[in-house]
Amino acid sequence: MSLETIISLITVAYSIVALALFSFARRARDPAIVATSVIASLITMVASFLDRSPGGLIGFFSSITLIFSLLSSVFERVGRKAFHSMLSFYFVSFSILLMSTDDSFKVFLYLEIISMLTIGGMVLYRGREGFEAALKYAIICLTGSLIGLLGLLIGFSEAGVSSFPDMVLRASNTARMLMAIGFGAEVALFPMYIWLPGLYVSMPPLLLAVEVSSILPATTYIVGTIASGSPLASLSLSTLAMAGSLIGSLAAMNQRDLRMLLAYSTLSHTGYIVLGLSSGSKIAWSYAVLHMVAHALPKASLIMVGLAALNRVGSSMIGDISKLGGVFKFVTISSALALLGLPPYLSFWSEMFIFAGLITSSIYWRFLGVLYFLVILVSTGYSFKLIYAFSQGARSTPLTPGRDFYGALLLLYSLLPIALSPLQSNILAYFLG
Amino acid sequence: MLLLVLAFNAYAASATILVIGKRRFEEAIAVGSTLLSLAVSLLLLASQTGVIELSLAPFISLMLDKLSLMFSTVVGLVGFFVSVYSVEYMRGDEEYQKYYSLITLFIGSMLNLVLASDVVYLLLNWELVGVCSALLISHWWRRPEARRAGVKALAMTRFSDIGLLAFASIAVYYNSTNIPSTLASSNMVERLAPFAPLLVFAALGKSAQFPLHTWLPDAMEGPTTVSALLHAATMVKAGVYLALRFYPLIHASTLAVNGLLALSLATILISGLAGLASMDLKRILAFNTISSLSLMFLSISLGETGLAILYLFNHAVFKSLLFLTTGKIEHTLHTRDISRLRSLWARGFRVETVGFLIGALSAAGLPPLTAGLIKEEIYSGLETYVGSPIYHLMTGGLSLLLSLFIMRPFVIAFLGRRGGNSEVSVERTPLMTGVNLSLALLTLIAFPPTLMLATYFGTVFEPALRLAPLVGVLSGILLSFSLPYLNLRVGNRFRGLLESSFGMDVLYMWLGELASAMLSKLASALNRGRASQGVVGLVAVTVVLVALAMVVSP
Repeated sequence: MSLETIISLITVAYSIVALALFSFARRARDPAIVATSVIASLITMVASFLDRSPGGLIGFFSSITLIFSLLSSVFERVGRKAFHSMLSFYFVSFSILLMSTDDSFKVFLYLEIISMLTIGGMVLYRGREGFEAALKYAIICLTGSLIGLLGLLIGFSEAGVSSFPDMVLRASNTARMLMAIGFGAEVALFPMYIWLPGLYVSMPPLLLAVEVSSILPATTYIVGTIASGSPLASLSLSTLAMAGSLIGSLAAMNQRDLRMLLAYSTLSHTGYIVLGLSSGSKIAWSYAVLHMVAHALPKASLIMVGLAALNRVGSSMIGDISKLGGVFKFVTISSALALLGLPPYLSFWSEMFIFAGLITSSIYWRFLGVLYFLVILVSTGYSFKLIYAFSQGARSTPLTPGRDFYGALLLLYSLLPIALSPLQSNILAYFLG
Repeated sequence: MLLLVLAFNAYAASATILVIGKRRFEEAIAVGSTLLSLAVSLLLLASQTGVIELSLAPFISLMLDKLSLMFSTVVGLVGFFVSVYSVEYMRGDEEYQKYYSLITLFIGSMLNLVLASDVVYLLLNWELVGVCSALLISHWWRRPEARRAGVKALAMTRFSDIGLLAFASIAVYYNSTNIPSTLASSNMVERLAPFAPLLVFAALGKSAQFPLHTWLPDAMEGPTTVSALLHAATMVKAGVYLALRFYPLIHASTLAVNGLLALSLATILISGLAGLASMDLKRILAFNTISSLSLMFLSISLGETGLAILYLFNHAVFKSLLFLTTGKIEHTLHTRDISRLRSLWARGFRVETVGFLIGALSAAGLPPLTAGLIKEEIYSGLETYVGSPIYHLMTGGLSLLLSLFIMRPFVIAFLGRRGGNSEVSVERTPLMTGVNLSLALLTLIAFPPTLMLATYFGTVFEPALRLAPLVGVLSGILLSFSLPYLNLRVGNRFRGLLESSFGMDVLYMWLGELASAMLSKLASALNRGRASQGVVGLVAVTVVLVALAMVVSP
């Protein structure tokens, strides 16, 4: 049985159980749905682990993030827990489905479902900010979807096959370009990234942490696959990706809100991944897939620090996060260093080998490789801005009793990029062969 | 087994310190770990003859040979002295846990850097050393200067890291990341030699050589123990280690050799002038470190790798002495400004005065102190390169400059005329005094260990006095002693110009700020946050790329 079938079955079964639980009183419903989500996530994690593919890799690690997120929602103040848990689970399951399907039209379908789920996440708390962000996202991604669909139809008529990888290879450059640009809106490719900061500000942090580790890698993987179909598409997309990376790194330095800083940092890292996936270098491709995990883990940790700041300090401004002490300080500093791609974190390997793949390719890729390295250098600015945040403002306030489980969970989660670092080649060998 | 202990005990110590909250235990672990590293290094130095390789995982492997053993001994030795000294020096510091954890992590990374037999593993530790360094420089991170210095050090050293990163990438491409087997294969050496300038570039940044030297003087914002450990004795030597490790490749590239020669001479001159203008005691020592490293690179470029190793060992000892002596003074008087540090001898800093004098004379290159003898041997290689008249002029001039700039602070700060400064009570702690005296003694009797080292590496070391450098050194020392009577007045603007290496630092800052401002402006202009802008961008990119696709190949 393929991963797509297994995940489809799990998703259907989960949906039935979750809907049935909605008939319970709210006090019983919320914990029951969270528990059901944890069980479904565990099964998804095991199923993903057994599937040796990029989909399996992202499925496995996004399930881990999902479990941490669900457990965190038990200890931390989170609104509308039932919907929160369900959306989190669907983020992961549809991301795995997107990465594991071979059918072009299913790719489109899953992308659209993911768009709807994202909008659902943005408006979950029914705030004005969320609706505005969702509208912005819907306008840009809907336009992108139409362009992508047009490319898909042209590609299908030219290639005569519905298999996504085959169609990408056989389709004309025009069809590939339309698909890549259209679906590129979904990964906030330059210049369609306008919706990204809104997403980071409006989506509930625990949900956003799951989004970063599931939807973002899955959609980026699809765009990268399309881009790698021809040299023209790969060069065009990579150039846009690098432009986005540079802008993201620079814009991140000027942010005062942690969530905005993380949004622009994501723009930057998505560029690295697209670059690696589309470069045509096998080593860069493999490590770009690994970078999806290497980036998601520290980014999700920092997003969760943002939640702690909102709940404890009442603000996610960088100047205020210094009021968080102990474990949050460690998590912030450690994750900021991981975002910089420094040892001993997993991102050191992924960023290094993406560079290795680029620098040993043709002249234009080497140029992009040098640019990529310079963007990493620029990212020193915002990473250290986060690190030095703790040198300003008032000293830390003690954690509220009863909430330190969240800190402990977060600490455990934030250690993953270090723990996985020595296993990087084993992870790649296992999942990517 | 011993190799594994040597490689990983400091890492383990760092992790243990992070989880233990008791100061005494942390100090004991830091001291014990560095002592263990030193003991294992010495044990291996005495017993090991061949080359040992140990593969642990893909791209992670260790190697033990003469060069790595010598470096690990130096790291262990200086690390031990520094951690002992830190017990007193960091007593009042609140963030001691972070400090000891980072210091031991740094020592672990440095040990793994010199023990790495795979270029990717070497790169990993190379980066780790840089991170620890940046975090240690900004240890007192509530001070803006310390934060700025930390970021500057990381940004500048990482900029040059592109050289090693590119080289490692090429090695991955050729499937030749194993260092010993690559260097043993003439075919691979020939293939990789054109990329040797990349290694030189990486080494120049890490070892603070012109034009990437401006981060090191600023790095003195960190605790003095950090300055001693990182920026005098170990981290900056990583560049020298890289050049020595890959010497066969560098030697095979004319561009790399000539570039190294020219840049090391330029660095000696520029750092000498900058040191002469500076009024900050630690910055003067930083400029002296830069010039000393240049001497090592000069030696390597002249083919005298053995002399570079001998000088490296001696430099580690005398520079640690100079830094730790300065640390005591700063700790007591809370200033590093030599114009305010007058008459230190008369004010009670007797041990420090003697220690600084021994270190400074060694740094100045005065024979028969061992560093002076090695320096003259290194200079002698230039004679065949540039011809006799230029050689005499050059070595005499450089020797004068270097001895004048390191002796100047001694004369001004330690011997200067007593003004209104009163005697201060210098707290004598056995640990700090013991470390200072041990290092002073080691500097004085460095000749026998240096000879043993020369024998170990098979280096011919038969020191002979040479007229031009000797006259230069003596002139510099005499000139420095006459400074109080000359009453020279140097304008602040001219002083600033020299200290900033003719405005290079200002230029870098200006270029960085200009580029950042322009790009940030562009980024803000591109991102006004309107949905319409996103849609227009999407449509525009689609039109352009689809048109391109149709023109190139529909």
